[in-house]
Amino acid sequence: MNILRLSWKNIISKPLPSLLSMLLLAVGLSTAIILKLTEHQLTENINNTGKDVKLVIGAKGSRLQLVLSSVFQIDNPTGNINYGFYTLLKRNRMIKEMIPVSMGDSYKRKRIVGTNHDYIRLFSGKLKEGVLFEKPLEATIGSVVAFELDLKVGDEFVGGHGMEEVLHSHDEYKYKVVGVLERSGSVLDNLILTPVQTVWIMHAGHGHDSEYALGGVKEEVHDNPAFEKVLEDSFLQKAEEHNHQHHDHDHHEHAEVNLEELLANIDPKDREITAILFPNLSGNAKIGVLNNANNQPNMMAVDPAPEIALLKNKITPFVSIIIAISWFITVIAMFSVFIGLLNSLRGRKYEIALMRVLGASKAKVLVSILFEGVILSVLGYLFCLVLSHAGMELIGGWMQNEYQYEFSGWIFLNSELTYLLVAIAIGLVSALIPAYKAYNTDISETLSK
Amino acid sequence: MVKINGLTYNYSSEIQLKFPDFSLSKGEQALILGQSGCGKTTLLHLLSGLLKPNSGDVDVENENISKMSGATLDKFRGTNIGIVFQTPHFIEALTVKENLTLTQTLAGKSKDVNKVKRLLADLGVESKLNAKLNALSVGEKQRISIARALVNSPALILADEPTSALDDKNCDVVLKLVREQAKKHNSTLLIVTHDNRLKDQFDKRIEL
Repeated sequence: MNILRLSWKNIISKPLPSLLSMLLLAVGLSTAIILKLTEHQLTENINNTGKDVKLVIGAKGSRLQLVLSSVFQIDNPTGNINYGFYTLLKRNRMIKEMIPVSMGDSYKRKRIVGTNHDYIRLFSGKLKEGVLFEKPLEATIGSVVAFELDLKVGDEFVGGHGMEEVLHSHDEYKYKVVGVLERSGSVLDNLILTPVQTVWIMHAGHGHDSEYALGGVKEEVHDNPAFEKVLEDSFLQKAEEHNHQHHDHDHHEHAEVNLEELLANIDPKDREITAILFPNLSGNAKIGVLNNANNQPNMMAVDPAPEIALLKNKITPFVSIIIAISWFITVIAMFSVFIGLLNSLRGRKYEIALMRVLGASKAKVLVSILFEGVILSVLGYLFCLVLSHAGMELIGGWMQNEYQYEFSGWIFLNSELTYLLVAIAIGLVSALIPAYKAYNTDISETLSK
Repeated sequence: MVKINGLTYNYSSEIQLKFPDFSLSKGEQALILGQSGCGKTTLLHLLSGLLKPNSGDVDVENENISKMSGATLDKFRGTNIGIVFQTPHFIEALTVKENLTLTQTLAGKSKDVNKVKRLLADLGVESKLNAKLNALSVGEKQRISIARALVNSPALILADEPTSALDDKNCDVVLKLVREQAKKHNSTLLIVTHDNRLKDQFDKRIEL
């Protein structure tokens, strides 16, 4: 029977007060740890997702909203811009890479994004099975989408208009899954990817007035003469067939409709995308594009980096509040350990004297009480690890739907180890006064009572 | 083996206690008699080094314990002196066995469960080996506390009113056990009491 074991026995002989102290400590510490884990994973995700996008062009509106919607796939889009602007910029040889993204539709709460293959490359996505989308209506889906919606290569599904709740289904056309991506831990996991043309086809029937951009911003006038020209050219070319097509469309005779023909007949003014992402854009090219886009009446170009920094700043006060709460709980836990030990020692005064009679030195008695505090706090810490990682896994499930990212309870941070030191320090500090009292017990007086 | 010489202890300037000199040889059994408040327990605490005398010496096993202090004294007490208290107290979180093995390890000896079992058998409480203390009667507790006083085979056993809480029958049994066991372990036994039932059973009596 050594001192450590004696301390342990004393703790378990009073299970309820010990459990309370341990629980309070665990809750306090795990609040702090969950916050740390969330912050870490969120920051990592934000950095990973945002780092390669140097510029975003989209419809005028909130700059942060544009970044959130088109880069992070969180918020609703600010509106749509014409695909013509994209083709115009394509002629600029200074721009090496451009990725169009077109949002607004979803399937069972998973976003459908019209884009090109560069989008998958941007997030280092790799194919797990099947192929990448090539033709309209073909879809390459993220791993989480495949898993949660039980979709595999060859499956078909009907998308709907709207991102959160489907306002109406596009049941004229079915998407066909041609490929599934490997899990990448990026936005790709939760997205259904398809060529931008798919989106036009889906919305062809709803005409130019379609508000599939939930922001509802429509473009009307284009001041840029070059841009106007592009639009005009394609418009005149297709005008005739377009009218004819529109007629057909109203009758919903899609079975015979050739997709390519349909596509060719879509009014260029109806060819819209939500945003254009620019990876690897810097220097003069960046400034050029920025100015060009900002000169358009209904467009804006946004550098994501300062917006992300702004977003982080907005989160900071909330993080501080939660940190304060977690420390508050931890301090209460410390008092609980302190009062628990003091209470337990009051009843054990005679036992302390007895230990001294049996040959224990003052130091041994002191250490045995300190051990009790430390054992309680280490147990609290171990329990807090279980609590925080299970909690993280739970919260992660909820946050995945909100933020399109996977939050895991299985990520461990080195800083969690420092919380062990914090816990031990709390145990020692709260046991200090009780231990000192035990150290100074007057044996003779106690035994005479 | 035990020798006290010119021993005084002052609680305050008014209450000053002076103890008669006496000595006991190894294995001797003696009674210290006196009324309540005459300093019996004080003497016992002085003998076990729990109190420091204002003057005089206490020799146990040829060591002057009034000159010892700190951990040395604690260790010496744990190894050489076994104490039976008037009301038996234990570490409530532990079982009978754990209380006794703790007594061994606190005195710096190694754990010896067989010895614990033998002692409990000698005292007729071997069935209580793994019992919790709060499940025992007063008589059983007093026997266990005798076992605890003996478990390190100390040179000196001090008993503070070991029988005053017991009825006549139990008084006889406990006294007999203490004396037998002290003899068996060749320990010097000193009983401090005001219990007149014990008076006639000892040859050596010291009156305070």
